[in-house]
Amino acid sequence: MTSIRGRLLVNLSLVFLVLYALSGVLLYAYLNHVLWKGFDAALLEKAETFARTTEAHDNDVLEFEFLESDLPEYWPQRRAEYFQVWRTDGTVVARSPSLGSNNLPVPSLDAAYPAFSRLTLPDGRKGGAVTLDFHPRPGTEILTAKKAETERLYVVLAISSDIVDKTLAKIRTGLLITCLAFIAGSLPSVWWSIWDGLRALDLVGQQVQGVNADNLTFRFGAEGLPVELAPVCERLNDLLGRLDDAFKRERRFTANAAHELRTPIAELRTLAEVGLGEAQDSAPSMKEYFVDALGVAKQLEHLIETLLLMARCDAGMQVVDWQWTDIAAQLRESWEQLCAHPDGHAVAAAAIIPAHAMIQTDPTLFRALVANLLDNALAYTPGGGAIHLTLVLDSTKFRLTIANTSSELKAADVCHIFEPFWRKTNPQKQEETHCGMGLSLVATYAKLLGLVLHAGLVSPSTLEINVSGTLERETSGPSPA
Amino acid sequence: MRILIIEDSKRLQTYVAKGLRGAGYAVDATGDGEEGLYLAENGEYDVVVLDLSLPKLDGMEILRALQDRNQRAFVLILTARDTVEDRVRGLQGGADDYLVKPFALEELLARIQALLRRKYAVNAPVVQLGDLTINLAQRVVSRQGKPLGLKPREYALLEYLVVRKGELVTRADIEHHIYDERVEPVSNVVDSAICSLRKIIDPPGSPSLIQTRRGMGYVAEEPRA
Repeated sequence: MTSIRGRLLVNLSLVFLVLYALSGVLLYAYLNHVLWKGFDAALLEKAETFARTTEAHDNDVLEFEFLESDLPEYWPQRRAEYFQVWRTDGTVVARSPSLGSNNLPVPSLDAAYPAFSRLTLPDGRKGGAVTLDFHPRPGTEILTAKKAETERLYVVLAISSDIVDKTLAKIRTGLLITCLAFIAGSLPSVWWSIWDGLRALDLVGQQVQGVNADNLTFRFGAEGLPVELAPVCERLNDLLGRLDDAFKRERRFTANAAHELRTPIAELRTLAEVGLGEAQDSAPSMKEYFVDALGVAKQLEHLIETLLLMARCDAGMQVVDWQWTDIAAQLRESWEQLCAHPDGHAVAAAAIIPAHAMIQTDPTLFRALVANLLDNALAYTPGGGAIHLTLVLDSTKFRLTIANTSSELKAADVCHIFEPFWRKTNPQKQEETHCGMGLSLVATYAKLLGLVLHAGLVSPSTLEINVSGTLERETSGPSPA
Repeated sequence: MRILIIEDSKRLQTYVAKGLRGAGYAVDATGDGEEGLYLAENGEYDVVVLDLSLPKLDGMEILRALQDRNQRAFVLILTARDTVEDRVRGLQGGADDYLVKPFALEELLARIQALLRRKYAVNAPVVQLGDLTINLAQRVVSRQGKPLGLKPREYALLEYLVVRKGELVTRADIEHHIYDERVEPVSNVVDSAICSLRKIIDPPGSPSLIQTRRGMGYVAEEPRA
């Protein structure tokens, strides 16, 4: 089961994480760009100064101020800088002493300059280089000035980018620490915000948990609820109101039906009983009339009791008394009663019941379920037929099977057998209590007890009804003693 | 014993009353809640058979009113309301027994007898008066082992005297508990009934088990030696 709070916490945390990371990356990219731009600008300025201080003289003599001035950064040392100058024909005309025997990358004649690149300096440090093409400044002689215009040089100037790399590393570290600090600070804030925001939902959830068929008069209070939940609670209150009305109507109906149906039967029965008492000395036929009337009253009484019981069960008004019950013992008792009263017609009976079978059920309802199944089997098994009862169970489930000979039943009939009043044939013995409701009651009891009921023809003349379920009730209940 | 039936079904009222009268009880019956409460409050009934769904005044309200007035009559609720909640509400409301319609008249009689035994603090269903044995459950009387044929009203009279064994029972008590509203007791009806009862239960020449207290009433007791 998913939790809104859990999902919000994960989602919001992920969103914050991504936002922080993205912001960090963007900020870093910007700073990286700015720093390198500054670095390149400084490099270019240095290269342009180099170009401005280079002079061309007669006899192909070039004078490099950077070399003449004996600048210390271009001599071999720990923090050296480098330059190398080429003519267009690829001959090197000058190089900083710091290069030693190394060379800087040869510039391409076709490229547009100035051009910047990153490289590893001859001393192994990381650095940046700028390539610039330029005409040297003419020397003091007139002839030289003309020559200088035609002379084209390429200088590659490279310096260490340590300062930029170190600054960027510091920025990365700073951003990472800031990101982690934000995340660490955000998680409790997000959690608290979610907890606080969903508190009203929790409250409503707790109230909903307390609602059941016994307290439908409960209504959700609108006070203190956020506007988002107010309509939900209003609708729930409406729904509870309608449910409450429906339950009350159902109860009223059952009570009224009980009264309206039971009282006339009570009248008929009492009339028959009183009449029978007074007819002891009357003609035999008079006594028979009252006996028949009493029989009709009892049949109607049984029918009404069954219908009302089913109505109560369907309306959820039947109380189920869950207990650990040895159904093997119950089945043996019921089976012995069936064998002791073979109902006037000979049937073969066989049962396989284990010594004990403890399940969590309502013993009275389960006994009634079995009694109705056996009663039905006996009533509709023709003479010479057979009834078989089998109970099997494993560590978690049980299965009760009652099979009986049924010569009239067809496969298409099976889906109807649990319908009230449905009958394919009359029972073998007409009794006051047989009104076609036995298997309907079985279905009602099974539903109430959470059991699975299945019927089928295992052969053209054998009806098999299975009742299966778990040993322990699926919701929490008492443990076996 | 006198029983009040408060039941709105006229037919049921009639036949239950008939059945109870046939068993020897004095029975008054009404189908109206208000009249039922009036009768219950003003009559000396041993048992009130009370329906719950009544016109004018609901059975539970009658029960509450009787409880408030501390009525001594035992109440048996006879109703079509059959749920556990109804039964619990009825019994917790002060009823002494609860029977759901439809019912067997035999069971109603047995329950009324049980209530009467409780009312008169008779623990065993068989009561001895000298060598006279009265089986209250089976409503059979025998003396020295010989069954005696008593008509229902004679049995009811004997039963009333026996459950109050040793107590003075006035003529008015007998009239109230043995004769219902349909019988207009004339001045000597009780004396005649006692006389008739004595002839049946007392062997000729032996002292009577029912003693007369002149001007006061009767006492059922073993004759003194």
